[in-house]
Amino acid sequence: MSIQRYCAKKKNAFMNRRDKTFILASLAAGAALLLAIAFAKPGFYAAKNISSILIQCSAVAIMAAGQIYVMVSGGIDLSIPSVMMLSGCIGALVMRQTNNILLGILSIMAVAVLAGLFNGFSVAKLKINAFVATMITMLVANGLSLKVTKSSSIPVPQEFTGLFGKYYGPVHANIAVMILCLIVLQFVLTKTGFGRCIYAIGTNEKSAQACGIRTDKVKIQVFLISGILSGIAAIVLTARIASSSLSLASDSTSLDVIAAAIVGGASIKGGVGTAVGAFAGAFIINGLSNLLVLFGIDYYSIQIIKGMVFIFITYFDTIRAKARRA
Amino acid sequence: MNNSINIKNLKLTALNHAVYIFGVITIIVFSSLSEHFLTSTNWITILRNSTLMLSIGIGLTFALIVGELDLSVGANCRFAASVSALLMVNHGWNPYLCMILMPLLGGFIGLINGLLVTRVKLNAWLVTLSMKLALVGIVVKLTNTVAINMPQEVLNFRNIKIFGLSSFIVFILAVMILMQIILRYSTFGRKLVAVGSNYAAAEKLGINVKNYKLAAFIISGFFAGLGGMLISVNLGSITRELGDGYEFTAVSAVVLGGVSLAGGEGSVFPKAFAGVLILTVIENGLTMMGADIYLFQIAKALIIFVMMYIDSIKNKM
Amino acid sequence: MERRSYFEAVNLHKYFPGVHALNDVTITADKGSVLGIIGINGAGKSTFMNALAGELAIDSGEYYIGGEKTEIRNQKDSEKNRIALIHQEAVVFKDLTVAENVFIYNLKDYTKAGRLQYKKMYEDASRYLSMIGAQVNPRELAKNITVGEKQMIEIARALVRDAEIVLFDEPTSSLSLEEKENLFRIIHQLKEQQKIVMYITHFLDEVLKICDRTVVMRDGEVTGDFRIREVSTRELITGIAGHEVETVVNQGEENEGEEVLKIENLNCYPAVKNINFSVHKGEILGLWGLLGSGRTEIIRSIFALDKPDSGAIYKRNKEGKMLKISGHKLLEECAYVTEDRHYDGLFMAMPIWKNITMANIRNFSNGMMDVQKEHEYSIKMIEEMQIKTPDENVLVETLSGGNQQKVIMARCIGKNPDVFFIDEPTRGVDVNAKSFIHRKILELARQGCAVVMVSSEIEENLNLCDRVLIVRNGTITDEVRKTDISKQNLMDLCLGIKEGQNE
Repeated sequence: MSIQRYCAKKKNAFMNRRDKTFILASLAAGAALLLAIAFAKPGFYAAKNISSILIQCSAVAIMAAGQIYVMVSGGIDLSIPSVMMLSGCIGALVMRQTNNILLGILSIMAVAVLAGLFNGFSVAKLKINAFVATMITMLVANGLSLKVTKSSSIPVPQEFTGLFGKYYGPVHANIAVMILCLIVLQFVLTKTGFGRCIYAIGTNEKSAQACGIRTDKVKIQVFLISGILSGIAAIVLTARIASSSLSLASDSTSLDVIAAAIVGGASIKGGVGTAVGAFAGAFIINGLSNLLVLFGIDYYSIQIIKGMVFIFITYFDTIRAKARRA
Repeated sequence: MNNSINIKNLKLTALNHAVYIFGVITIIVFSSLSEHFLTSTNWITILRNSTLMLSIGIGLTFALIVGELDLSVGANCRFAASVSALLMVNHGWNPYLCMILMPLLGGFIGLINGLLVTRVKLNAWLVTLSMKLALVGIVVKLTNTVAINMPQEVLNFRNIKIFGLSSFIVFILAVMILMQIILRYSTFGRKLVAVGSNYAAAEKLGINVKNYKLAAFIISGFFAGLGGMLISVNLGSITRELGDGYEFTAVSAVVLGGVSLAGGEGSVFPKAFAGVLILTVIENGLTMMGADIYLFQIAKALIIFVMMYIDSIKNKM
Repeated sequence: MERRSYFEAVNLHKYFPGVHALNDVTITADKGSVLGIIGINGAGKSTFMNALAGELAIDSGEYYIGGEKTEIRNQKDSEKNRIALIHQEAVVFKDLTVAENVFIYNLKDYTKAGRLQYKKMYEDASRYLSMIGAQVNPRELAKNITVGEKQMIEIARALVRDAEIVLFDEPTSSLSLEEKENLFRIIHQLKEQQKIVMYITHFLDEVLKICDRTVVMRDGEVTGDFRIREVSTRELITGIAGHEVETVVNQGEENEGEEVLKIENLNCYPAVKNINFSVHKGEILGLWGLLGSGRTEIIRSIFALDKPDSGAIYKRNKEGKMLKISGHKLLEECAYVTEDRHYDGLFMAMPIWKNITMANIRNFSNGMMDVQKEHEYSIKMIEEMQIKTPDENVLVETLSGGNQQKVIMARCIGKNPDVFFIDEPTRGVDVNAKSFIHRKILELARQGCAVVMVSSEIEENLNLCDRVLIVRNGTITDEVRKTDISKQNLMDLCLGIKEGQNE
């Protein structure tokens, strides 16, 4: 009795210490970096610049939150940016044709929901590997976007940008939507039984099944949520840049979303992560791009740097998983 | 009782060969829709158009055999081809040397991927996806998205004909057979399969699993670079579209052919080859019908979907 | 000092975090003999085997083979000393052929000019395989052969390497009866070829049948070394368990409670065929059969974890009516303790309290999870189940097997179910936890719960069950009432001896 008890206690204490040092170390490194920036580019901290980073990162944060839901459940959703692009384009077309904003928003959400359901159904019911299933959705969404836009940019009506792309007092609508989404998502993920089920599935799907959790239902719901969030991101983004086109999403966007989720605490192995982490991840990644622009670095060099940073972020996931397990 | 088992076996056989059945049906449909489809000129075109994807697919098959995904192949192909082409055209390097340099550069990128995955223990598809982003950035910086035209020495390869086919087509087909022989009949190939089919067991038996994985990544990169070499002979220029989205097409193609994402299962010939050929045939057929590019993209996605579904039914049986 | 036996392992020590896995272990073996190593799970048998196979390195101690001191630090050393381990789960590569699997170490020897000589390889493979009486095509892919045949691959590998010392780690755990007989024959053959065979098991009868000598291990120490001819079963049991263990026996009278669950014509190709049975209130129903007979699969298809091809399930609802119910719904209402707690039982990386409340999350949430209530409840269950842990926040993976099993039991009891399915209630659990779990199961039944139990241990069926259903080849062949339950009876029925229903 005593030896097991002792071991359990010791092991736990050890793990907490490892975890804590790791978190402290990364915080210290972050703080040092921020301080260094303050000396090199004071403009970075101007309220206006920070606010613009916040606005820029809102769409990625919303998508990353969806990605985190999927990743916590042990899956991956590659289709998020493409679905965002497709729903944005279709929404813009509908609005241009009918001049009805409500109809536009509805069509955006309809596309997003359909895509989410398709992903969920393929993964949970047809038992297709999540990577492939969402890759299929991605390819279809890319193809359809090409078809509906004919590679041109579709402007959205003024009323629409006025609704979702303007400042309300000091707060930009994008930021408000992001904060609202994240609060709701964080609550659902960490405080409700549904959220607990998602963690359970990501930790051990078979065990969750044996506990009586309907894993297929939960997985469909998770993909549905990530679809819906792609739709919300589409609304936010198209309203901000006032048009929809194929440039809404690129390879870099899908990596941004995954990287933001990983920085935000999710792991490709599943079972961990929180929704508010998505904000932290998206903010850091957009902050990085913003900073590089401030330093006068061109777009493609930023891509190169980003690629390297993402590899480092992957490393982050590996060591963090190790620290958790130790 | 016995009858139902027989039917089940029959179904299983059908499902196992679904991709070939599907290929034959496609060919029949297209040839009934267009009289130009089943002509030798068209089939040479199909073969020629499939060379690049075939090369990438061969490499990717090796990565998938050991159970890893390499998503940098498209960008790697473009990177290796662009860098060598620049050296050739702008810096006056020997064209033949630069041609050989392409696969070597690709292999070098594969080496980096492999080291990151096996030694730093990073997740393969995240690393290779990040690598893709970085490589595309480098290429755009170097070329400013301007197409690079190949010198005459390179284009001459196209005019060398073997059995009435351009030299590079024969070349890649021969390499394909060679790689299949290596995979199927050499110690090295068999151990790759062993690593992919049961990683823990291979480790237990003292196989140097890390080095086999590393080798698979190098091969994957090498063939991406080789794809660049083929395309520079085939098209005579390195365009800005080269390699864009090829990784997903290549994954689709080899998975369609029956190479498993889970590792261990797959072959260069006939599986990867069949997958690549079927996708090229569909693209060719749809173009002949005058269909949009987007239609090809969607058709491709749906075919993969159906095949993956069949795969999951098969596993359940 | 003179070495008397061909193989000697002297004063081995191995520490794992918090466990002294091998404590001054000295084991010797002679050529041409079969040495049994028995003990319960966690006694140190597997650690010893893995050390010999070079899969882990000991902390201190010496090995002598043929009188000479030798080192075994990794697989290469083990290979050099001609030691071969036959793993409990055969180590095979599913996508390679049988022949390739046999010669996986020696592929180089069959390479000529970079090309593998398949003809020679197939010939040699069939020679080695026929030596051990395995009827398996060397050209077949390993994924298409049976578990027993996979084990033959491993044995053939040992022959190819001309191993002097062959270790078997629980080799019979998933073999059919014929495969088992064949294995024993091979072991006998190895013995005649003057090899050393070491045989790990926790089945006493196997040791008595095939071994010449046996070593008993407990808590990392060697507690006994017996010649089989001179030892009694009682002595061995005491050696294994340490002290006389209290056996929990179901004293209850045979009672005929009302039917709570009825299964009709359940089929799930190919493992489950035409299952019909019903469970009564307050009874413990055993499903008894050999490994691979389809016991676990029956439960899985009842719960639709493996989708059944046909069949109906009826369960008594609160109003006392028998209503048809879907497998998923049944799983939500019943408790299910799975066969393998690592694979599909626990959430290893989660703390105890989350594990305990996972099966009935709804009781702790009204829109929002009541974490306070969860903690309180978990502490109560930890007390009730006597789970040894500092507090409820400890990760489950750090607990011992017995305590992990108690966590699953606690989770299921918390659901307060009418029907309780338990698959292998005490696999890999220490003796004290075992009798605790047995008492708990009896208590559940007394409170009116219907318990369906699958167990490989015949004693568990003898001592606990009110009724036993015999499962053979995926179907229920017989029913034994409490008064008729005896060891002989159960064994005969599961082998199909009594009815003469040989197929």
